[in-house]
Amino acid sequence: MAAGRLSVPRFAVLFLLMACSMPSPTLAQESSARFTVAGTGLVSLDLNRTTALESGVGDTDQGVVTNFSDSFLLLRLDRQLYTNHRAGMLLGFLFPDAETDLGDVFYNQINVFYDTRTFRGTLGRTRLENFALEFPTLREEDLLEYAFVLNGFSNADNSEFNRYGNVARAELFGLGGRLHVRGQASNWSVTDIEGERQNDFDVNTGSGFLGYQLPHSIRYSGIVREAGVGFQSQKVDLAGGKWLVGLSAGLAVNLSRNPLRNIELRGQVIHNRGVGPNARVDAAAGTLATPMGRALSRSTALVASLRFLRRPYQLDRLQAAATVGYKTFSGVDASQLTLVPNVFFQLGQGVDVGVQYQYESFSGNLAELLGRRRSHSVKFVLVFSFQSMFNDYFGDRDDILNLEHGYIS
Amino acid sequence: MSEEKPEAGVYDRRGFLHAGALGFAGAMVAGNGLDVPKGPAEAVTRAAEAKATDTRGGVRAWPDRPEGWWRHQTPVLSPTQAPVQGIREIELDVRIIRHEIVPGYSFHVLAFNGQVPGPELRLNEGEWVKVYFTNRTELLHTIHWHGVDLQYEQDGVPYTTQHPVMPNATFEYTFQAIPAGTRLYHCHFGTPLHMQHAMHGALIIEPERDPIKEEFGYTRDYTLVLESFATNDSRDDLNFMLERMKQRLWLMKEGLLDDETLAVFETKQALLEAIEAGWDPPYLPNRNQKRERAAQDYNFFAINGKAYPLTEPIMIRRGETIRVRFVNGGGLMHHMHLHGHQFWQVAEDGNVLRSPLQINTISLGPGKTADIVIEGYNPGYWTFHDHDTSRVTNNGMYPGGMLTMLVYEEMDDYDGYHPKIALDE
Repeated sequence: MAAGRLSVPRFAVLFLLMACSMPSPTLAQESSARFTVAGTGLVSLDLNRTTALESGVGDTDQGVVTNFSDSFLLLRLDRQLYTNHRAGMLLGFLFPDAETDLGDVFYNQINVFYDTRTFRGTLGRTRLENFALEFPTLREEDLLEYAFVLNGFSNADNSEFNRYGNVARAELFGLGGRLHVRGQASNWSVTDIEGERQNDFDVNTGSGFLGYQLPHSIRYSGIVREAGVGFQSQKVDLAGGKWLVGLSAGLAVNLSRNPLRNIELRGQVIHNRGVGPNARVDAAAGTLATPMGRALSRSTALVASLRFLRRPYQLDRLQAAATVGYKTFSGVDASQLTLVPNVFFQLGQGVDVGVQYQYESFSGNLAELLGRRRSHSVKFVLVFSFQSMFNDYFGDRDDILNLEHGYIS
Repeated sequence: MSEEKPEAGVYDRRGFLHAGALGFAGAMVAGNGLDVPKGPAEAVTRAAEAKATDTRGGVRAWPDRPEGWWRHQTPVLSPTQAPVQGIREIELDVRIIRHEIVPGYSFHVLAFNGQVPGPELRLNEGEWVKVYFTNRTELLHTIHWHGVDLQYEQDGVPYTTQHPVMPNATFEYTFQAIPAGTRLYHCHFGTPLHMQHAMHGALIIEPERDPIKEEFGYTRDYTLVLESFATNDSRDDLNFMLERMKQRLWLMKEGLLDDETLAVFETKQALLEAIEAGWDPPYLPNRNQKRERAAQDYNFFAINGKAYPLTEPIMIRRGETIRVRFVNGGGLMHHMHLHGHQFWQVAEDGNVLRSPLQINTISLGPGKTADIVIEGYNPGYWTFHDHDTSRVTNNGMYPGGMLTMLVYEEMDDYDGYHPKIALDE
């Protein structure tokens, strides 16, 4: 055959190969997406000291650790649709604690969302939103045992399986963006008793939330800043399947509406109904000594924080906060308490230096099971955070313009 | 008023005085209708005569003009000198509205009386006017009467001639409408945002006898306010400003707003002392790197609030003469070009030119006005557009934006080609 000539059969094969090598099943796109990149480098020098229960029982330990966990990078891409609704995706990862066996990075955000003025749907991995409020500690994991409905499927000693999961979420917004209702079916990470993650991605949890929140842009404009009630219902694989229900409620108020010297008080209660009649967990699931055991136990956790924010000429410069958490387990003599004061000073926009002290004590059976009575940690912190948006060509639902001057779809 | 009224004829002494140096320079170039030297010899002779008669011992630049010809003739009166009765009263407010500039695309703007541009104000030269300006937003505003000779506290420059008008407050501007001509009014607070998006409007001060009308006999009078919008930047800025102002309003109410937060100081010395004490001015890169508010990315362009294809055509009949007043309310330079015609520029900045210029493209910088007269001598549909064609776009798509058309009314009966609406070339 002469060069350059294709017989019909060879042409057909080439066509098929080309068709099969298409990179994705999606249609072509001609316009650029709005692009947001955000990240935080959060590094602390941790001075830890754990006091043993008594001489010879448990561990007395102290050490100095350089800790960069919870540092993250997040990309958001979204665009306006032909209907003038919006859709986009989040892709993000964070750096977990080295001792969690999660590897160097954990992909905490891999989701696609669809947005309208009153609705948002999210599909993929993201935050489980298994709390009513967030609290002003350096890392979320500082209050993991107190401020979250814990994962009853996981015996892994990490915070990521308690904070992130695969969700199918629908949210409705009203009252000028202040009120929102959320319903969610999700897969919370499942591990075996050793804490090894299992290939179990079935939906195992349902949750709902009703919340009131002043949009960030008008966060000082009212006394009640946030309020909400919610539940998480986990279908745990115990004795044929039982529902582990966690209830949460929270309230945050501006004690001072002064935007230069804001004082805010927030409190949250989480009641975990546990499984079994008296919160004694199934032996196969472990005991209060294990993460899964504590998650499956009937408990009540209270968290409260007082935060002072100094904002000379409306720029955040200094934050001083004190947070207290208390958790008690029903049916057993077990409780834990934590105090977390911290101070952060902003050196420049997005660059903070700070120090946080955390005291934690354990009592009763919990102290015995954990083998420690109390712990102290001091963290000296340097934080670099940023957020940049490119090709910004539409507003967001909670823009003041959209909230107060007519929504532009 | 004892002001001297113009004599018959177009370019009388009073018209000349209003024309000012620019008009005179233009006339020198055009050499049209002026008593200018005919050649080098005559120029030398005139210069010699001028020097001989100069009482100040110097060489007169314009020896053929009467002594003091350039001096302002009409005294500027203060509001306290306004008559008790006979003052025209006007109510203006500013609101945030959603403005549809082309079908299917809206954005938030600051609008006088909810209109883009603001309502055209037509006053008679010399009449007194009192404007009640009410701020119906949570931002601060003023109104600057651009090109009007008035007492300085009526000039509407925040922190220079007045405190800005607070939310829900009403400020009274009182001034005498002088001089005649096509002028504009606009907010002078946060001008890059407020004036351009879209707190601007035409202010027409009509003389008792209009030399342009007497000369050209125009029958219709159009006003075209040229506008440029950076809708993404303005959205970002407005949201930022509104968030900040909500907090400042609370601080004001509680008596807690200080100079450093407001970034307004009584004196330059007070500013320097604040900086010495560690205050970072908001223009420093460490405070403002994200907010490059001067570098706006303009994406929509309009005439009288609308971009092509929603721009209104300019109608004319064969043999008719019309006047078109341009007001540049935006922040960009525009070069309006009319196809198929030579027109006469008869005024600039509202002031009558000593000699009209026959051109087909007229350039207007920000804040400029210009008046032209078009003679209907070439029936058809004639494109009239900014010849910086990057502004003849809607969000980057050509054609759009600052594009309208001179349309002869008799074209309805024409059997030939009629314009279509093209949006994507």
